[in-house]
Amino acid sequence: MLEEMQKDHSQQLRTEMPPLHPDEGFNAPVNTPVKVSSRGLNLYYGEKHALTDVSLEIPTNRVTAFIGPSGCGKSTFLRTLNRMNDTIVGCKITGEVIMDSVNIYDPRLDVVELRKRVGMVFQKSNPFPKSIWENVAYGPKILGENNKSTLNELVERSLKQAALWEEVKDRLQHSALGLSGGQQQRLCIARALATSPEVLLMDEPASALDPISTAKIEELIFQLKSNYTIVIVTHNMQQAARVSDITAFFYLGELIEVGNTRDMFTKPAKKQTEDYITGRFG
Amino acid sequence: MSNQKPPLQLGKKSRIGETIIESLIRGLSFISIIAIVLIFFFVFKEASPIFFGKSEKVVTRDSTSAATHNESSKTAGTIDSSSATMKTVETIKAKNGIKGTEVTVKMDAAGNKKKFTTSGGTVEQEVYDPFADDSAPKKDTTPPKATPAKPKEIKKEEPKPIAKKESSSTNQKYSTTNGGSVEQEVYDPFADEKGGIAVIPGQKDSKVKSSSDTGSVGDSSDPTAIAQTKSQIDSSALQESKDSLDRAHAGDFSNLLFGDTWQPVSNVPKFGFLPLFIGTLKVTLISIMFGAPLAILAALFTSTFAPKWARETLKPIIELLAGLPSVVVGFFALIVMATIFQDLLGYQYRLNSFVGGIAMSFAVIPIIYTISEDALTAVPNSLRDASTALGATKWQTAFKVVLPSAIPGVFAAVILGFGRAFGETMIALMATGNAAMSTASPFDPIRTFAATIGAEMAEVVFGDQHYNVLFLIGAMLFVFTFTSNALVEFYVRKRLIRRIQGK
Amino acid sequence: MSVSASLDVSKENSLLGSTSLKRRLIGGMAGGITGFAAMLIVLIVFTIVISVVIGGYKNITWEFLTEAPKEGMMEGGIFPAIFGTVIMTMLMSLMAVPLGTVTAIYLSEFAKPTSIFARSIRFAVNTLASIPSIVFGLFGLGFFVQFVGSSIDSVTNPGTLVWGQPNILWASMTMGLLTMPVVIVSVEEAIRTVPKEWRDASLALGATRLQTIRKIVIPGSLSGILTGMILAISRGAGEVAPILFTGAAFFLPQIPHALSSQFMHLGYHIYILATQSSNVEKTIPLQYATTLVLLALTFTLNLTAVILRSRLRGKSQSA
Repeated sequence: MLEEMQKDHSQQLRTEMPPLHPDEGFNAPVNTPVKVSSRGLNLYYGEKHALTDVSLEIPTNRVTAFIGPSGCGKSTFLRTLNRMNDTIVGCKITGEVIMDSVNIYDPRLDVVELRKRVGMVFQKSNPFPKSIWENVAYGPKILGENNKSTLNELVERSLKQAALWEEVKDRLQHSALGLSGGQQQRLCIARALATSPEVLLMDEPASALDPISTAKIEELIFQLKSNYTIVIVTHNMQQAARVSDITAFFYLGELIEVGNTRDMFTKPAKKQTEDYITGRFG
Repeated sequence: MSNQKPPLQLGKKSRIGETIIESLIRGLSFISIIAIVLIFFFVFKEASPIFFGKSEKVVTRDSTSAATHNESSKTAGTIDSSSATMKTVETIKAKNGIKGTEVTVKMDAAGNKKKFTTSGGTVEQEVYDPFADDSAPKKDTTPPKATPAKPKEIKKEEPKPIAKKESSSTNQKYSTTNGGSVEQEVYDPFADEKGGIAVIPGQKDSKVKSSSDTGSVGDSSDPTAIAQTKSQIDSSALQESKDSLDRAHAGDFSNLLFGDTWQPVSNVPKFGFLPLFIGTLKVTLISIMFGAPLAILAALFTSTFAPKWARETLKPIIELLAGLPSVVVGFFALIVMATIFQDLLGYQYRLNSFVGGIAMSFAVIPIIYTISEDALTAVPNSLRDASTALGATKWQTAFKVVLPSAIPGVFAAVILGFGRAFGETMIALMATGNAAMSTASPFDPIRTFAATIGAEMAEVVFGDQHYNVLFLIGAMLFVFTFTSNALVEFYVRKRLIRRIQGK
Repeated sequence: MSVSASLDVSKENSLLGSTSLKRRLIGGMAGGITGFAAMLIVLIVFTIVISVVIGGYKNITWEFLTEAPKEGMMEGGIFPAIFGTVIMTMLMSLMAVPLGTVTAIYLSEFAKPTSIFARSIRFAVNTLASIPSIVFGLFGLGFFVQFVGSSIDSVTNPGTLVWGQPNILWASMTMGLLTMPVVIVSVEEAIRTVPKEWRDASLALGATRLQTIRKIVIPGSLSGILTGMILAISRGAGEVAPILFTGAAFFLPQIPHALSSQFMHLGYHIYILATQSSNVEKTIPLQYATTLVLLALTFTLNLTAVILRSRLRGKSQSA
């Protein structure tokens, strides 16, 4: 019954938002090579065992969504993919995360190099207290790009990619903090795109936004996935159903089930998954 | 575009600049620890001769002390020896006030030589004698007065004319201070024309005098004069002093420090800490007794009762009070408060531990307020809400829930306030009368440890016993603050956290 | 535990059937006492300030501010003292502000809060902040003057005394050490107001930790660094005990011309005039005026710091 409603609802939403490319639209088939994969990943916060034996493969140029109730470890796992957990005191990780056949937890790996390739958008939009232009140009500047015209081009391209250009092109020198919440989040996406990452991690990017801004962000994700491998964490199952090609369900720090989004939402293999997506808990 | 990048590879980029700067930041932040260690080491080092005798290094560097020390070590049993100390002290002081540096130095050097040639003999009394002779006339008749009179004598022998001092008045000051039988004018800067220098060896006084009389004030603080003196004494006194170095006061420091008289500048210098301890304790307790309740109640007011506007007015005002220089508070206490209090309460001495204590509480209030306010606001709102939800009134919540939960923090605040008052110098120096008396009455003048250092350090000879004792006091203050801080850090904070977060 | 206590209390009251009047009376009294304490503190501050202002404003003249003391400090101005204070605080800031800022950056950006090293630094800073200022004076004398200064002298020009004596450099360095914790505390507080999200965003864009500090953290905490500097200067201008025997001169009509010369200091000048001069009574107007100058100086600085800081706090709360 609930499942029915769920499906109806997502179906309805889907019809409202037609796919851009029939081939790579909703729930595209997973036929691309693996970009990032984790093997037997365990993560501890001090005594707390936050992730248990997570093994997962993320395909190139597809959208992978992590779903699960709060505190299930989905955001934590996302942050292990660009080693943002390094900044957290008392965080210990065992296991492997392989990207381009390199273990990113290898002590010889340069974490800055990794983060240049794995961009991230956070739950709360966090533009720097600088101008819009400065925000977008921050990453390229950090990477050593000083040519003003190149930077201008980059800023324009990134803002266009983030579907923000039209709205802000006349006030690039204004403070980014003057933008609305949705605009700020798209600015953060533009900022992350400016460094041309290969993988884009999004940690509940639309959770604090109104429905219109959310729709814009989702649209953006569609457009971006032809060029980027996108991993998105969301607590909103409709969103996962709408935007992702692959869905992974986390519960209590464990990866319960992963599969094609369509399959996950129509015929989940595990009871827990079914309970969760039908709204029986979480 | 993203696909054009080469695949991710192992291998760290070398960022030498960053590594250097990071280690620089690490290194520089280590300076706080180094500073603590250095403070600990150097304050104790200068105090250590009291316990271990003098190290050779100190003597060679600072020859004045050598001469002094030589003398006192000869007569180890009786501390009498430091009349020689005094001699040196006074000589340098005298020179300080006079233009004729060279003359003074010669005289001093001569004195030292005399001293040392005699010291070649075995009888210690002989060593001592020449000096006794120098100041014999005064000394015999009125022993306590002899000390301050000395500069005058030395100056008499000098060819250059200097300002005459009224040694009698200076002397009187001395006897009163030393005797412990206090005469009002000594402690009251207004009754006594000399100002608040009662206990400070009359030198400053004479300095001022000579300067005002001769107009050669610039010389009185001319550092090069001291420099020359020191180095000259150095050359003459160095070799002779070496043999009698380490027979120092080693054994008798306990007699030295645990007596009940503080009388550092006299024939028989007495460094009894008891009156200083009593004085410090008295003034600290008064300041805490007055300041702590006030600050804690005010903190409770801002954290619980106060409307927003009151809170936002009070905080900056207390920050301003914290920013008030202690010399301004001391000045206010000395000039304004002392008179008002004396008129109101009608006690005998204008400056006393009560005035000093109240003034000192002004320095203590901001500390106690800030820390207890932090502790009070750290009490979780859920506790307050629970109490209010159970029907408790605001004041019940404040006094029976909030305050008890924050008690460890308030306790820490009081301890830190205590430490502040214990070491406060300028207020004590200006407002407590500075007489080393051990009485119970809060209306008697007192002399605190910190004020003793502040008042006397400028008067002593570097490396002298008196100098060492002052450093010992400093070391005690250091240990005291260090301990109270450690107590707060490792005990009280933990308890506070435990109490608020639940056991 | 405390909750249960309050529970008992409220029960008791309801059992007694205590009238709301009685409760309100007690409540009013309790609130009144705390309010009274707060008012008393305000009163104290105002009394001090007003009595100094009333006593001193008449004597603040251009001559007083620009001339040297005359007639054995019985007359004349306080220019050398003002100048000495300013120079000393400047030298002091040169030492305290960079060191304090770097330590604060280390403590908030690099150190793991649980590491022994970080905890020792924190403890050392707390201890430095509470060591009596007179002990700093002793340290300055024992370390800078007697040890460092004498060592320099014995190396550069043996037999003479240039650095091995109290001077403005040693006084400033002693004071710098004393005010360093002030800088550390306020800079750290400011750095903490820089949201972690900004740091995360910067790191996620591939910035190194140092780049993040330089481009995000320090610009975000500039006002805190400024506040720390101002508070340190204010503290340095007002503190007398550490310079009593590390460089302050009793009387010095000319202004300091080298790092190795002594200097006059406003606070020390007040102390000297009020307790050491030969005619205290006669110089009382001068004392008041000097105190007023010092008070004006420190109050202006403090007020600026207070305003800056409250803005900062407002910002951190809204962020």
